[in-house]
Amino acid sequence: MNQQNMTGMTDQVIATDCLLSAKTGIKSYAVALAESATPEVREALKRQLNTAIDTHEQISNYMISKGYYHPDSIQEQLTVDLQATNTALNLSNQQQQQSNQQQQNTPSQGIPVQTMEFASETDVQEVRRQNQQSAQNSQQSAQNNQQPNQSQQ
Amino acid sequence: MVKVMGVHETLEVHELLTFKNLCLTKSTAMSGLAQDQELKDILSQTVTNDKQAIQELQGFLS
Repeated sequence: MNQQNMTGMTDQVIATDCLLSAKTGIKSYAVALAESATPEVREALKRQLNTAIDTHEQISNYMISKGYYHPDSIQEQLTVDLQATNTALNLSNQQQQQSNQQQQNTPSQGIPVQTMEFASETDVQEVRRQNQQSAQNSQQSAQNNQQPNQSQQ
Repeated sequence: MVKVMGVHETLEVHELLTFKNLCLTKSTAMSGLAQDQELKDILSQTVTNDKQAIQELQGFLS
């Protein structure tokens, strides 16, 4: 269970991936069957489509029995899926934080740190450019302010 | 076999082969990560089915 929590590959994630693959497989086989012209190909695709349908039945029954899949209640399904959404977001946030910490702990080593330096370099340039622009803008507005004064004088 | 098949057919079978390769690779990897025995059984059943399907599709393309 620890290993699953660390990688995020829980049984629920694995089963959901399996279900999505089964769904996609059924669609792909149907599309391919509609393009088949050779009898051998058609027969093979038909058999494989039936296998894909059986697999879909198996995995969806499994997910229903485990409470991962609620085909008869959209409300329950939404609860489960929004929970999965939070898990996925938290997992990626944690990993980003971990990789940031690793970069801070081991400076001047490896490609990621170089990328960081490159990013911060461009950030510095961007900030300089913005400063220059704002300086120019303030000069211009200062001139604009002076011009009416000059005309009055 | 490729010679007697139409181009549209070959394209579809090729696409299915790519998809099934991915399915087989994933199912094999995931059956090592799954904890529940029932899920493991489903995955290993999928691996067997996928292998058979891939060999059949491979036969059409080679």
